[in-house]
Amino acid sequence: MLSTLASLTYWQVKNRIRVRLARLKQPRYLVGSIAGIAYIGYFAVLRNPGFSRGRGATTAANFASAAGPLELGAATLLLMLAALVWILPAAGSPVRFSPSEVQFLFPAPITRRQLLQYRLLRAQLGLLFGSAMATLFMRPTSFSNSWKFLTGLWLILMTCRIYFTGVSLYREGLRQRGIAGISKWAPVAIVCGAAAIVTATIYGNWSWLSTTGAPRAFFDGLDRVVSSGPVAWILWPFRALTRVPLAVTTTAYLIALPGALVVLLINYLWVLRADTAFEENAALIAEKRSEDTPARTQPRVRGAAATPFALAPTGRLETAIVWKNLIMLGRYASLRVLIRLVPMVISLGIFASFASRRSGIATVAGFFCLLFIAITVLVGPMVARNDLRRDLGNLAMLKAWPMSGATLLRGEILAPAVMLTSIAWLFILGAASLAGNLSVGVLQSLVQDRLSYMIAALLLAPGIILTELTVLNGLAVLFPAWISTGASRSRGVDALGQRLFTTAGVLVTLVFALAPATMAAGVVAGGIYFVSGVLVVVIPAAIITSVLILECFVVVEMLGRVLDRTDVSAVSPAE
Amino acid sequence: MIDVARLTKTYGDFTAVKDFSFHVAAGEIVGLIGPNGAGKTSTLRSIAGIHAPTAGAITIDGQNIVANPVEAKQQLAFIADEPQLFEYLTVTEHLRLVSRIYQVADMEPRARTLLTELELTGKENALPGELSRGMKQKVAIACALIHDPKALLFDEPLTGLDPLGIRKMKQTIVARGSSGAAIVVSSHLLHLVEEICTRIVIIDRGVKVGDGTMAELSAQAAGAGSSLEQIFLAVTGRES
Repeated sequence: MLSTLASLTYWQVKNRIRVRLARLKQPRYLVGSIAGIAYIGYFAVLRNPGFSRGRGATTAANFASAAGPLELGAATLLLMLAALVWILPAAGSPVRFSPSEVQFLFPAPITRRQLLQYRLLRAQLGLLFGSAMATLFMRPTSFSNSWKFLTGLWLILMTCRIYFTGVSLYREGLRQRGIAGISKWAPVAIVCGAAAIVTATIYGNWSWLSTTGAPRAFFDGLDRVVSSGPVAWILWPFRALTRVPLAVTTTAYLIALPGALVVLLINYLWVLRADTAFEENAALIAEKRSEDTPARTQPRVRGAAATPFALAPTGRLETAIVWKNLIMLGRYASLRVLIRLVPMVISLGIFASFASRRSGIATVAGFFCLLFIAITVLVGPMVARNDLRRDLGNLAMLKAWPMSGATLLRGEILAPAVMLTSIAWLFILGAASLAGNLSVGVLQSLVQDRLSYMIAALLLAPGIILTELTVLNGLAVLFPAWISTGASRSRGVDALGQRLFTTAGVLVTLVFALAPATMAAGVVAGGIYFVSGVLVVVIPAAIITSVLILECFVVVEMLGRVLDRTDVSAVSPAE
Repeated sequence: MIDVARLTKTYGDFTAVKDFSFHVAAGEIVGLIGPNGAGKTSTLRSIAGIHAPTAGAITIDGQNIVANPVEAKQQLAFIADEPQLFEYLTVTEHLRLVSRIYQVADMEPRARTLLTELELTGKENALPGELSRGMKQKVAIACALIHDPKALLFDEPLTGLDPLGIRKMKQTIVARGSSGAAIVVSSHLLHLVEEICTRIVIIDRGVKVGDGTMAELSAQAAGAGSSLEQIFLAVTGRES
């Protein structure tokens, strides 16, 4: 039976490649694929140290010296991850099946265990592709030596996937049987206890470790601390895994491999033993995940009045779209989503506590505010997708409504713009109020005049955010097949090329949009400076944003006409 | 009210609808029937302004769907075979949104009436994910009817409805027709079409092969029989 399931995997891969090749008949996919291949080729071949003897030797030497600390750091990270998986809420169903797999395979005479093995096997293709991409881009050693890193990374990812599946199945099994108490909390206590022992041991030795001076001596000391006693046993499975991709020589690789394979095998056997939950309620588990909307992204209603504002029955149509898209944002936010940010918050907190010892809490908080302003303004529009990109799947319904394409587009763009501008303004206000103690050398005048710069930043942020969103939504109008609707994301070389185009398109267009705005602002600022001798920032910022908004308005009108002419049948949704 | 004149719709090399014309007057309920892939959905979607016609003209209450799409769509409602809803909006929010889109000032009483009529009372704060397929279909229908459209397009309206829902749906369609709306119902359920439609248009391979009342179609397919099923099989050449 497994051979049949292997054939199914082969047919799926073969047909996916066939569809992708057929798609190349369309110029946009062809161009995207060429860009993707060129990008990978550039990193894999031209910039690979293996093609430059001198550079390759240096990189290999650097890698050899960093392998030890990297192995230790990665092992500790894996331990923390292994503990977090038990603490954080489950992300949907543990075993993923497509709706067609549920329909065809579950009524078929195939055991649940075979199905589980099939899914684990099927996942390896993606993990192998991911490992290959990571190897290409990270280029730890020479090109000819990369196979060790690739297979080692694959081994780690494979073990992680099996472990995560095991954890999910164990928890699902307890949930289905209504078991709580010691069975539920024992694994959590064990892994968290293990993580705590490692943390306490390192913390206990921190005072003398921090006095070692050179990084090399620090890591040697740390290695000695964690290589004895219970910590060594706790970290062994994790170090056994991380040792393989970081093996410098083939001999070291072959020595490290059996340990990692033992860890993988133990996890695999554990999953097969822990598959009772899957055995009992397989279709339910699978369908929970195979729905169009994954369980983890299901919207929620908290109270009947959980809307951003009351929508009057008459008025501007853009407001209705903004209202709808702001509701969308609120419905997907949940405590579970916030809990997932805990690791990031803890990491930032640790960094902040170390940094604040030297510079003070206010300075560190001010620095973080500046960092988050940049992230919100520059990266935010690409991440916040509560606009046309998300709505493309509903294009047939939207096209049936009595509103012009430009009206629809304005509403779609305004929703994330309002949200991101509010966030950016919060951080700008935070940065300005905390910046009093900042010491930034030659830029100290910025701190002294921070009120003016704050107002200028408050004015600039919406203009830049709006421009980026206009470009991104413009791409959705012009190249709808490139845009992933809902929670899905396109994959493959052509998708990589398309994403490169998107990012490059946003940056290039932003520069082009800013050029006339900056010129107009420069002329005015120059005039004021010539007359009064004062260098103003608020008025130029207002001019830049005004010009950007005007440009966006004109572009949206033009894109709206394209959207009006867009035939829904021509929009092939992204895979 | 609804005028379709020489509509042609192609997808690449494939012609889904060819030179197709028909008219639906106010108060008339026209059944659009045909085999799978005949071009029914393409026709309805072209009338709704979702697909751009390759050739021909479509007017709703005198407004061309291509030249004046906003004005034409203001009079129109399209109920797709697969209910398309926003997964993050509740039933009431859907009605509120659509009311704003169609500028329905007296939304509240209309919404209450529709929710009662379609047996959605108690589901006001439910998200689509919490509703059965039939319930979702009813929400889509409530959204379509809230602005009291002059022209209605139903694509397989009974899919997913329970027997009571089917009866209610038929009553709703007939009531809208009686109150002066021009209605097109596309369905494979010939008994439904025969029961509620005042006129029937048969389409096969994108071409109109029959148009008239039951009596006219029966005369057209002389000797085929008196039921719509027999007429349909005869007209589409699938009797054997």
